[in-house]
Amino acid sequence: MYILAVTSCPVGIAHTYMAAANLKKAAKKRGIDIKIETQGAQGLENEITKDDIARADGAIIASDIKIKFPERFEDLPVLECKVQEAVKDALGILDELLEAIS
Amino acid sequence: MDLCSLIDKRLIVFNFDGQDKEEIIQGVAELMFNSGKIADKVKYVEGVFKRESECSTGIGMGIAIPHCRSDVVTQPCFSLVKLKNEVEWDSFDGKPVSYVIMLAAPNDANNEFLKLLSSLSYNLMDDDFRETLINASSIEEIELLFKEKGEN
Repeated sequence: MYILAVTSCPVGIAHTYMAAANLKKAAKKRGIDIKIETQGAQGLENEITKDDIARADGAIIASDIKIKFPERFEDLPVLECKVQEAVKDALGILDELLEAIS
Repeated sequence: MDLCSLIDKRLIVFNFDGQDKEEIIQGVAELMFNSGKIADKVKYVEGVFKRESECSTGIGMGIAIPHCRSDVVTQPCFSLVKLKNEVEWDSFDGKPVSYVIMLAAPNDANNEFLKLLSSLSYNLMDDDFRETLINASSIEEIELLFKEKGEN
């Protein structure tokens, strides 16, 4: 199982990174491989590549704003949520996606 | 460069007085203004409240991280403020706040500074890091924690 995630927020110095930290923790808890791209004030970090997309089983987009390059995820099951939901309950979000694609 | 390099002792308070969210944001902004981090207190506070109105910064576990990026910020910085009394902050977990980390970044900050501020946000989700930080009672303890943890 390989999951992708993008986190983003309007200011790009706080929620984006807290959501990323919690999604990473949640994936570790479920024993799942995850790659998280942050779209914060520093721009795209840990950018998701074509290869990542090709081998991914699903994606989480946790953002309050329009993310950059959303079309990359067109052919994947995508769970979209607000960034604060991923800060609050990353495990719940991840489980929701896992349930949908299993 | 690590997080320690952004520590300003004038922005670290272990017994901060304030009755509510508004008063505390104003008070911390005052500290930032007095230590030359922001050029215009009113505009900075406006930016912080605009952000609050979009999404609460009460991230739960007794912590709030009000923040904004603004042209009036002259030096990227953060406050570490332990409150004398808990206050309501419309937190994710509904609990009151007893620790306020206010972040300020200029709109044109270089990536290095932004990276440090975001690494602080990232590390706050780490249970050990967060608990050590909020339980620290001296600047030395905080510096030690930041040195150990470095960047994420």
